[in-house]
Amino acid sequence: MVNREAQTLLETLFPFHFVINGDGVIVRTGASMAKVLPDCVGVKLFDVFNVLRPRADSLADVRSNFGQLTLLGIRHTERQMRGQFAELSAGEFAFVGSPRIVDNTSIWSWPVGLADFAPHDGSADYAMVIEAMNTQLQDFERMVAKLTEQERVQRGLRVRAEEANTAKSHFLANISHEIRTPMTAILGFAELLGDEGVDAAERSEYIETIRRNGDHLLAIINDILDLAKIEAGGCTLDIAEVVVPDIVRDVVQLLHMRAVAKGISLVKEVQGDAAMLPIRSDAVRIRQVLLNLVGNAVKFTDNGSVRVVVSAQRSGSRVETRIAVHDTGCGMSEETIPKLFEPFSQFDTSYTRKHGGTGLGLAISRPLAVLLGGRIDVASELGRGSVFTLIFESEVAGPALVFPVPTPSTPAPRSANGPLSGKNILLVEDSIDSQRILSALMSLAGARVDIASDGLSAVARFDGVYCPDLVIMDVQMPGIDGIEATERIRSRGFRGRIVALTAAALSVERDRALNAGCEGFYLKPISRTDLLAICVGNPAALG
Amino acid sequence: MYGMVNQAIEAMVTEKFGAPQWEVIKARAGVEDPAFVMMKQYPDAVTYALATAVAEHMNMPIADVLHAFGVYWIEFAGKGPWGKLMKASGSNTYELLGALDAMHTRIAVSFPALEPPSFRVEPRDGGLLLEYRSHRPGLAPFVLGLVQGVGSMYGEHVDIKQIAAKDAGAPCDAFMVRTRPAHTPE
Ligand code: HEM
Repeated sequence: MVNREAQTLLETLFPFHFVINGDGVIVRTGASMAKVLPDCVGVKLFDVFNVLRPRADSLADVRSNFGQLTLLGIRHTERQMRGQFAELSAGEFAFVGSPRIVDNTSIWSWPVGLADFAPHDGSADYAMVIEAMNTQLQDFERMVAKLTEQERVQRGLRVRAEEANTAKSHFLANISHEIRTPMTAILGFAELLGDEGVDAAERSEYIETIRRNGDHLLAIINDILDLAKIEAGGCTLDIAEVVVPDIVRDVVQLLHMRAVAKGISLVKEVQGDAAMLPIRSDAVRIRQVLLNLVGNAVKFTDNGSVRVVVSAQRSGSRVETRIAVHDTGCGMSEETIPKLFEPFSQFDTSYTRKHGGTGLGLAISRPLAVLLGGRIDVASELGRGSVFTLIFESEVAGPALVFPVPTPSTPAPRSANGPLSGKNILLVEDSIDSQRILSALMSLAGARVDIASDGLSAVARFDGVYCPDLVIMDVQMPGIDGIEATERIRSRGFRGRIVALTAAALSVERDRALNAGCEGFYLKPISRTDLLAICVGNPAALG
Repeated sequence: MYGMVNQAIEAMVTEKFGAPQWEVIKARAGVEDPAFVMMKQYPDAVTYALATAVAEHMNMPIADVLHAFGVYWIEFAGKGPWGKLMKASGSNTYELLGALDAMHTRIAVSFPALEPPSFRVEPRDGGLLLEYRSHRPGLAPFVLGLVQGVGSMYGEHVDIKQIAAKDAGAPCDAFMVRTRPAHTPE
C-alpha cells in the first residue's frame, strides 16, 4: 500500500493510471482510466490488456521491463495506451500513461474529454496539432481552388481578348478592302471623265458608274457604323406595338420586284392565329433583320421560290415569334454556316460584288436578333436550299386579345363603355390578317365593325341609307383601290369621315387620297393607341 | 490576430450578404490581400478595420456586428475539426466556459503566437459568473455573441448579462450566465 501523498500525486498527475497487486490483479484506477474501462478493477491485467511492446506474457516479463516506453492494447478493441510500468511499493506496481493517438479522429472516439488529460500530458496537444494540420490542409485546398478558379477566369478572358483582337484585325483588313473597291472605281472613272476624248454617251455611263459605286460605298459605311454601334452596345430597342405579319408583308412587297426580275416567286405565309397578336417589340429592327434574310434568300436563289413563314407560340403574356425564310437556292455546307455571320465573310463577299449588298447584312442581323431577345437559326443543305429563321420573344401588347377574332362580317362590340362604344365603323381591307387585328381592336373598344373585303363591295353598301360613323379604308387593294373606292363613296353622297391606311409612304398617294375625299392618311402598321385616336377623331394625339 | 479570425469575418459576410459585398467591405477596410491565410498572423488593426467596415457598410452598430460575429465564430469553428475540440472541452455551456483557458492554451500549440484572452468562472446564484480579461479593447459584445453561440451548439438557451465593464472602470469585464435546455419556459 502506498502512502496517501503518493496516491494523490499519482491521481493528479496520471489520471489514466492503474495499480496492479502482486497477483497481477488491477486494484485501483485513476479517474480518467475509470471512464475508459469502468469494470476493470478486480480483473487480471492480462485479461484486460495485451502488453504489446516490449512484449510481455507474464508478470515477470512485465517486471523486467519497468521504466521502458510500453504499449498496451485493450483487448477486443483497437485502442492502445502508451506509458510505462513502475514499482510503487512492495508487491504493488502501476501503469502510468495515456491513450495513444493513432490519427486525428481516434482520440475523439474515446469516452473522455480534454479535461481528462493531465495538463502536462502532451498527447492531447498532439491530437490538437493533428486537428490543426487538418484544418490547415483544408485551408490550403480552399485557397488553391480559389486561385485555380481565378486563373481559369483570367485565362478565359485572355483567350477571348485574343480572339476578339484577331477578329478585329480581320475586320479591318476586310473593311479597307471593301471600301477600296468602290473607291477605286470612283476615282478611276472620275479621272476618265476629265479626259478629253470622252463622248456624251461614255460620260453618262461613267457618271452612272460613279454614282452606283458611291451608293454602294455609302451603304457599306452605314452598315459599318450600324455594326459598330451594335457591338458597342449603343443600340437600344424602340419598343412599340408591332404586328409581325404587317412587317413581313412590307418586306415581301419591297423585294417583290427583285424576285420577279429573277423569275422566282416570293410569298408570305402566316401560320396560326397567334402570329397575328400585336406584340411589344421594335418594328424597325425586325424589318432590318428580315430585309437582310429575305434579301439574301432572293439573292442566292436562281430557280424556285422564297417563302417567308410567320408563326408564333404564346405562353401567358409572352410570345415566341418565328419568321422562317425558306429558299431553294444553292445551300451551304455545314462548315460555311458559322462563318456566315462574320463581317465580310468569304461566302458573302464573293456574291456581293456580283449581286450588290455590303457583306455586312448577317453580321448586323445576328446581334440585332439578340437585341430583340432572340437569335437566328440556320439550316441548310448544299444544293437544296436554306432556311434562316429569326426567333425572338416578346410581350403580348396590351390586354391580351382573345382569338379567334370575329367572323369577317360583323363582329359584335366587346365593350359597352369603351372609347368607341356606340360607333359604327366600316373597315375596308383586303388582308384577312389586318381585318382580324383592326376589327378586334375596334370592337374591343366598343365599336360595331362592318368589314368589306374589297373596294367594290364597300361602295355597294352606300345605298343612301347606310351611314357609318367612320370608314377605314385600306389604299392598296386588288380591283378598285381605296382611293377610287373613296371617290365613288363620296359621289354617292356620303359625307361622314373616311380615313385611309396605307403601307406605302408616298406623298403622291397621300395627295391623291386627300383629293379623293379622305380626311386623313395614315401609315401601317398602326398601333392600338393610334388607331383609337383616329377612330375618335383625335389624330392630333398620334404618337 | 491569426488569419482564421479574418477568414471567419469573410465567411460570415459572404454567407449573409454575398461575395460582391465582401469585396466592397474589404476595399473599405483598406485590405488588399486577395485571401487570408489561416495560420498567418495579421495585425489586430486589420480585424478591427474589417469589423468597422462591415458596421459602416451595413449601417449596423459595431456592437451588433461583434455580437453576430461571436455567434458566427462558434458555427464557423464548430464546422471544421475545431468543433471536436470544443466538444471535447466540455459537454455543456458551463463546462466549456470553465475550460476556455485550457482550450486556448492547447490551441496555442498549433497557433504558437496566439494571444488569447483569459476567462475565469465561478458558480454564483445557480448560474455562472464569467470574467473576461484581454489586452484588446472593445470586444465585450463579441464575448456575448460567443457565449450565445456556445449555448446553441449544446442546444441550450443562454441568458447572459454584462455586470461589469472594463471601459467603465471595473478591473475586468464580467458576465452572469444562466443556461437552461432550449425549448423550456423560463
Ligand atoms: C475551437 C474553438 C476556438 C478556436 C479555434 C479559437 C481560436 C481563437 C483565435 C485564433 C483567436 C485569435 C487570437 C490571436 O490570434 O491572437 C481567438 C480569440 C478569441 N477567442 Fe477563441 N477560439 C475558439 C473558441 C472560443 C470560445 C468558445 C470563446 C468564448 C466563449 C473564445 C473567445 C475568444 C475571444 C473573446 C477572443 C478575442 C481575443 C481577445 O479577447 O483578446 N474562443 N480565439
